[in-house]
Amino acid sequence: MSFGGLIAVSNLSFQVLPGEIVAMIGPNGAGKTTVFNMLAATYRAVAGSMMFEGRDLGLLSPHQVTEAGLVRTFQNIRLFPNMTVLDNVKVGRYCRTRAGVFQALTRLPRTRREEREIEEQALASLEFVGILHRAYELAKSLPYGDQKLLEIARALATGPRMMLLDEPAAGLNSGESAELVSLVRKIRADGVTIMLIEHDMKVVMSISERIVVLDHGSPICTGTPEEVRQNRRVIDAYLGKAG
Amino acid sequence: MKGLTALKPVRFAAYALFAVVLLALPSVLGSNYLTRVAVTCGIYICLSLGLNIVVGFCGLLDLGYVAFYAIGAYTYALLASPQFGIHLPWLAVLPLCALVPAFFGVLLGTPTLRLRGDYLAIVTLGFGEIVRLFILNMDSVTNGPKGIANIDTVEILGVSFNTPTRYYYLVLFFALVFVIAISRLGRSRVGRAWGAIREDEVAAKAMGLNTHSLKLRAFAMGASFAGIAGLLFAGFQTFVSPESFTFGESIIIFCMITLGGMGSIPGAILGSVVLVVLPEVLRPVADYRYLLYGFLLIIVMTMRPQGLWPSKQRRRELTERSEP
Repeated sequence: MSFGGLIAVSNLSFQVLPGEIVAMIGPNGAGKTTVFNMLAATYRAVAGSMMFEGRDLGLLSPHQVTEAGLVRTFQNIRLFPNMTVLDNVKVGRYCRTRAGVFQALTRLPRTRREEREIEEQALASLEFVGILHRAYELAKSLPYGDQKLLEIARALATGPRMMLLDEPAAGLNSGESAELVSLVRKIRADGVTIMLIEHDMKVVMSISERIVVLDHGSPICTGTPEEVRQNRRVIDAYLGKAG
Repeated sequence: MKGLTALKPVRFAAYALFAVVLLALPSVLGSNYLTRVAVTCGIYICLSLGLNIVVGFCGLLDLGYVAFYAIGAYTYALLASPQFGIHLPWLAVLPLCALVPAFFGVLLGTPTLRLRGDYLAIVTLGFGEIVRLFILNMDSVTNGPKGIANIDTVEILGVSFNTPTRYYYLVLFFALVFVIAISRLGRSRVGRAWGAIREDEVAAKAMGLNTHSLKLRAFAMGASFAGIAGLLFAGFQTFVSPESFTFGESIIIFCMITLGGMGSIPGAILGSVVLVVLPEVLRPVADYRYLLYGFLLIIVMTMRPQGLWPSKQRRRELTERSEP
């Protein structure tokens, strides 16, 4: 991936197995979010390939990636601020439902049934992340932590097989990030593979089974939390080379 | 919550009263002139409800909306007038007046809906002007600036809608259908998706919405509403000319939904009624009419930025504070 003359990410290769929790870390500007943007087809990679369950992500547009079962959240929360919490999550069900303009106008029993299902599933997603009591508030009026949870609920509603979480713990206090860790584990227990970008090392070390470390757009190390912790290059990248 | 359930019969009574008023309106108004004003209100209500889909629901700034109104009006004018000697029955033209503008909506939207906000506004503005200039200059088809006269009066299954009072009921029927259609659309899966695009297009895409196709559908829906309004207009005037479809018309329809409250159905209705009736009321001060008209608009928009009758959501949008 390159922006003009700047090569943002290169020589990166990694694999995530079904059911894994993998973290991607690296100093600011290392290209972590760029990797997510490429996977989610927001950016087009200039070279290389990305396969998800046998499909080439490079050929899909953003909504098709989500349809294929790979969904993302955003580093700086991107909700639909002036819609209710429940409607935010209902939008997530869009790609798994069908009713079009004609069905909306006629409201036949089948459409109503689908609408009921959308509501039930949206409520279930909200309950899953623990903000069901906020369902009828406007998304923008939620406290920060709940907005992050809402983004996860909305992504879950799309029925993903893999989730890309971009700094889910950023801005959370220690109690909230502990809750986040257990939420991520709960999502994985439901059969969703997780890849996350995170700066909070406590979170990273406690949930990830493997870690990919990026620096200046290239991988410098991949391994278990223990291996990464002891890797010389990782320490150099974060703390600067010692003498 | 208790208050809400207690309100229901009151609400029902209000609706019933409203219905009676609407049905009795022509006889209350008495004169043909006032009934004609009421019909004009109804046509503008249909127009502003359609624009509400595009701007209010989906957030697409469409400044060439009047083009679809013109296309609908001319579709009827060409297929039911001495212009080419074609006199198709009204019920046969009705679906065409929805489909032809929708087709042009898709045609315009396919390349341009990638643009956002003000860029889209400029492109649609251009489209509106192009359509008007086409109509103005294609003399052999549209009769140019002279317009098309002697358009067939509306006749449905043997009933002729040849008086303002009868026409009033026809327009009332369509306005009612439009209100029901829009409120259903607004609460549907597609309506929510439109809202998501309005709020944050990038996030909408990431949540699996095919935003391009959704925006096209909003455009096409709005266009077919405008087309039917055009049909009603042409049948009512029995005359169409390019003069009725200027850029100023687009702006007035825009004002109607802004004044009433963006995205709000009662708002669009109220806004249309106010902006149709106001110039009539101000007729005695003819010379200063538009000065006062503009002045009143400014006052209302400064005092009530949310519009006269905002949608529930818009009201919350402006009153509820937001967290970071």
